[in-house]
Amino acid sequence: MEDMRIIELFKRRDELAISETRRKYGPYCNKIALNLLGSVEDAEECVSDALFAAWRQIPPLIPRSLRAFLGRVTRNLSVSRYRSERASKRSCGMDSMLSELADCLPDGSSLDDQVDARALTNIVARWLDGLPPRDRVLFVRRYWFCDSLAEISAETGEAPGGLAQRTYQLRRSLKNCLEKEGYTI
Amino acid sequence: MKPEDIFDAITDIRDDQIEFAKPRRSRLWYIAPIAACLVLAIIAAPFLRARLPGAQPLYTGAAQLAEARYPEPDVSGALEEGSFSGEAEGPEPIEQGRNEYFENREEYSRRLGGFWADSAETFLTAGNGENMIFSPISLYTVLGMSAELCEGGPRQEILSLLKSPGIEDLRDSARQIWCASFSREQSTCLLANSLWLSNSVDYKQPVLDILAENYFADSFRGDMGSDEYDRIHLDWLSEKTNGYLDGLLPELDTDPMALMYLDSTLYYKARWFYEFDPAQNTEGSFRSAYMEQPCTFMNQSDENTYFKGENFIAVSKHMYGSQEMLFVLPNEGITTNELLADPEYKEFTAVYLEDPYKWKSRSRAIINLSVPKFDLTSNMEMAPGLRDMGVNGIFESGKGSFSPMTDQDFAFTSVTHTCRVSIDEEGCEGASVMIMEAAGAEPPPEEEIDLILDRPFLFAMISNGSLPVYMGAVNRIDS
Repeated sequence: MEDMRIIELFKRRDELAISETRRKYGPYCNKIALNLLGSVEDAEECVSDALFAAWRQIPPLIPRSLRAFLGRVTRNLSVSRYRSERASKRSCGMDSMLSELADCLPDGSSLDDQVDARALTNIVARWLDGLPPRDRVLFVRRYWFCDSLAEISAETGEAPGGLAQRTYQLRRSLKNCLEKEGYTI
Repeated sequence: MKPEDIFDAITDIRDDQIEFAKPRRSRLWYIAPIAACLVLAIIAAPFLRARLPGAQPLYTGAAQLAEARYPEPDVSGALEEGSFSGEAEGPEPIEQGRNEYFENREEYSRRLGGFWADSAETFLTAGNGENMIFSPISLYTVLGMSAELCEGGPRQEILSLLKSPGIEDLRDSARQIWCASFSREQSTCLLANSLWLSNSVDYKQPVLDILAENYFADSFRGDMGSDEYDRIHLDWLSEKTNGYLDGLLPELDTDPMALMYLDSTLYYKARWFYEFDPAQNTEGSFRSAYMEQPCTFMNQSDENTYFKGENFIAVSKHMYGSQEMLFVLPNEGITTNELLADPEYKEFTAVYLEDPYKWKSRSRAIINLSVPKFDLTSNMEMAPGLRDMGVNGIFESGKGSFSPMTDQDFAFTSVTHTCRVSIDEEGCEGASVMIMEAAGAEPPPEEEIDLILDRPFLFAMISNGSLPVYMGAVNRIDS
């Protein structure tokens, strides 16, 4: 079903919206959650929570990209779950994701620094705009869709080692960008 | 700052950046009907004509002398979801050139910002309230090719205008810009070039190979003025512009005395990331210089950043493939000609192409945007403008100035330009029900402004990599 029709169902408070969204975007949301949390049960719960969040928020919110909206909600729910249960959880995808993203932290910044989230997002978005399309896709696939390098490799034909090298360079590039923007003390 | 902050920042990147990167299997959507279609073709015909009558043919028949290699679209299985690759698998140099461009993007922006702004003033200033459209990157490429064909003073004039220290640098720059602008994925942008030689030209093959490799230019020779050669030439133009200029191109009737034509075409097609909803369209009037013209306005309310200057306000609207269209509305009482000459506006053009967020006077607001639907054509002779910009030698060269190309004596005589641009809200009926951005927890901005393009305005189509694909002055709306 096309997204516009699904959203029309949400607007009419038709519960078919939930099942159609699950049918179309369930596997996609599940993959994001599973990649981050590493637990099938947790991922399934996240997807259910994401669908419920969509039901509560639409309307009045009308997402223009349902895919991006659901993926974003799933990421937020996954990270919330990760934070609340971190102490009791074994190592999961979120750990490695955050470990990799630590490469982007500007030298001299403190963990206690308060960050203007909106400003930081704008900087990341502009930095992405300046990347060659191939690198932009790689970064978003790895750090937004949370795809593994093996999955990206299978699709692009590029060796995982080469992808790892490129993602490392991209993280360093983002770090340099943040430092240029003054994210140091 | 913590890694989680970076993670959260990535979570909230723009929807179009997410869509751009989504797994290939669902890219079938992008070959659905387009929402906006912009196409331009520059035809430099006749760009170069013989000054010496009576040249004798050295060859017979028609032949292709050099061939540009473009990546071909892979549409195998495009009708089955899941099998559409959606990405051109081109020769490696395309990818390599694109990466080289992006590595030097800031340098290009700084170096060429003035050229983009100055050429906009030169070629968009209207004499009589007509619409003016041109392609800055096509102009850059045509000038680069011209520099390859000449030497000495004429070449130096072009190098100076394009801020290149030498011909090798210009060659590399042109190749990288071509690669960066090339797109056949979520949008289409194809800059195509060609050289049409008379059979009476004693041409030198090496320069044709340089043009093919670095400027992606095809080269041909034939009997200038013959039906056969004209037909091949016209077919090439039609193919490269996807037929979009059919009926607008003047009947190709080449001068038998001409020695060479140099063509550049640019075919462009893109889709709004957030389409206009046809149900929101309104009928109104466009206040051109001499009359009020009825037209249809496409309307959309959206949270967006707007940019201000003393005499203008500007907003951009995103398209798929990281393309955007920038609308610039002069303040009441300011004409497009006046704005084009405004130093602050020229600075804005250069800064915006380097990094929009470097422009100080910007703010976020709910913007009620009204844009007229239009389908415009523009014809112009560019030689006087090029002379104004300091390019004179190629129009006056004496014997030997074009020695990289031929030992014969000739000069450029004319640079003609034909262009068509159209925008609309096109898409599946009812597809545009999306009104407000749902993502993110940020409250919407309190400010709300109306931006109604119901009087002459300027626009720029900006491709991936901040390259100005088109710039235009819309001074009237022709139905």
